[in-house]
Amino acid sequence: MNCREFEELLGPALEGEILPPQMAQWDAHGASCGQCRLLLASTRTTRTRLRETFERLGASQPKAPAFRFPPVSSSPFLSFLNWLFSSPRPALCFVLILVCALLWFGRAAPPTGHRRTVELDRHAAWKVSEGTAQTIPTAPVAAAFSELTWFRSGASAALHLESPTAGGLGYALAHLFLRTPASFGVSSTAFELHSGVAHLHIAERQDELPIVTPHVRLITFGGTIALAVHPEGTLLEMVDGTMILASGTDRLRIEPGRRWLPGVSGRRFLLHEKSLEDLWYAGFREIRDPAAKPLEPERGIPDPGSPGIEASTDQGNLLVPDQDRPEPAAAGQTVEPAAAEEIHNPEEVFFHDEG
Amino acid sequence: VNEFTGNAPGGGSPQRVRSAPAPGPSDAELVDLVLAGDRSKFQVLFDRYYRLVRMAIRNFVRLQEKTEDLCQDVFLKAFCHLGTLRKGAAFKPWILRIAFSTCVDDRRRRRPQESPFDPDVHGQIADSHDEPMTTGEDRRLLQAFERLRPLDGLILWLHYVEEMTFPELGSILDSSENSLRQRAFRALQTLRKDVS
Repeated sequence: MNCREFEELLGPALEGEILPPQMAQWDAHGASCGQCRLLLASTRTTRTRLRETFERLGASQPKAPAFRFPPVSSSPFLSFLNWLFSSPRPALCFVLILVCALLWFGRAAPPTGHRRTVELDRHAAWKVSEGTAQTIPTAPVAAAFSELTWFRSGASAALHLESPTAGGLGYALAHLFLRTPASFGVSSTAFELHSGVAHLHIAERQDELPIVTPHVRLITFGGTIALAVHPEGTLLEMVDGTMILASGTDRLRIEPGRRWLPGVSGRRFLLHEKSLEDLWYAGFREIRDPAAKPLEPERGIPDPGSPGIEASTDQGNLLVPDQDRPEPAAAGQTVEPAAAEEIHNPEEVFFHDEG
Repeated sequence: VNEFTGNAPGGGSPQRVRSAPAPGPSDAELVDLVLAGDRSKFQVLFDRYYRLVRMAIRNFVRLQEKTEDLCQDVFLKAFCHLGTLRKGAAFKPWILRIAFSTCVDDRRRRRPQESPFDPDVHGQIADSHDEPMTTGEDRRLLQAFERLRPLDGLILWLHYVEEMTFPELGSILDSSENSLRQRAFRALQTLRKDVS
């Protein structure tokens, strides 16, 4: 062993951490080499002096002053918070419980047996019926639309809703069906119906929507929402995802993705003052308003046989009208006054023909 | 005992004698009492470890007032987080660990404003250990000790004076035993050369 190796092993040797055979060699070198012996001695002395000096210094250190305890919070709530966040485990449990509670109470209600009826009257006021035909007025939505313009051109029809404030049709749909107070921040919403394609304009957005018929367009939001528009008035229901349309004397059940043949056109219908659930069974009754002029065929919605109107009766989803109900009259044909007795309130007429 | 090194055969230093446990309740008992609501028992722990923590802090902070402030800060943290001390874990390494992290945080905070070689601060080094009981030799050693790097000084002091083992030091300083061994011996040699 040479002096360099001796110095390298000095630290472990002083700690007693080298093996006996190596220690013997190290001792032997230290005993024979005066320089290394001096190094060892001075190191040991330094170590001893360091300890003694600090022991003396420690004894001369000032006594501990009084510990400044933190103030005790008098509020039980603050005490609880202190306990909660003094250790990570209670805080973690608290957060987990909070998340579980939010997930439990925020879950969506099951749709089984749910029944929802939507009605759009000429004032663009939405009325919603849920469950056992309980009418829920939606005054904010009705107030959101200040003007309703209804026009049609050839095979195209358009329903234009203007709102002076933020909201619009998108707001209405979101409010009614998604049950979220959503606002799209629009001042105008247009729902235009053209043959083959339906357009929904919500502010800057323009979405093309699936078509059901040239007269009825279907809007779906998440597969559970539908809006049907007919020039003469339309009632629609959504029952467990299936849309049921009542227009004129027709009652139709529309499965998603199928087509519906409109059986009526160019007529006015009166909504009976009944519950919406009853209304479904009663249907619309054709009326005759003596003050109104008969609809002219060229201004009305084209007949199903007209070009551009699909008139098929396939798919098997067209329900045959009740036999005791009056058959729909042809365009321009006057209706018997007997049906007019059903009128309770002329304001309940769905959509007036602009003419 | 090896007369050359002073070590006992088979390893271990015969000079390393643990100080006798403090009279009165043990640290663990005091911690339990404080956690049970008896806040006054923390004063006993404070009295018991105040000098130790103060000495540890003085390796990093030379200013007297700052040392006192940090010392209170360390014990305040210990008091507030006493519930996180594992059942049966020793209080001494735990409080030293808090002291070390507090000093490191403090140095990190004041680094932009204050250089570690700030003469205004280091001018007070000689006075920092100007205790009435220290002799001239002691002062010379202490001044050499002050010139060590703070962490080296802390390791040297904890190992050779407080007789803490390297595994204990590793748990306090978050460092490996081998590196601590090397640093301790290197610091001891630096001190030796400086003093001699």
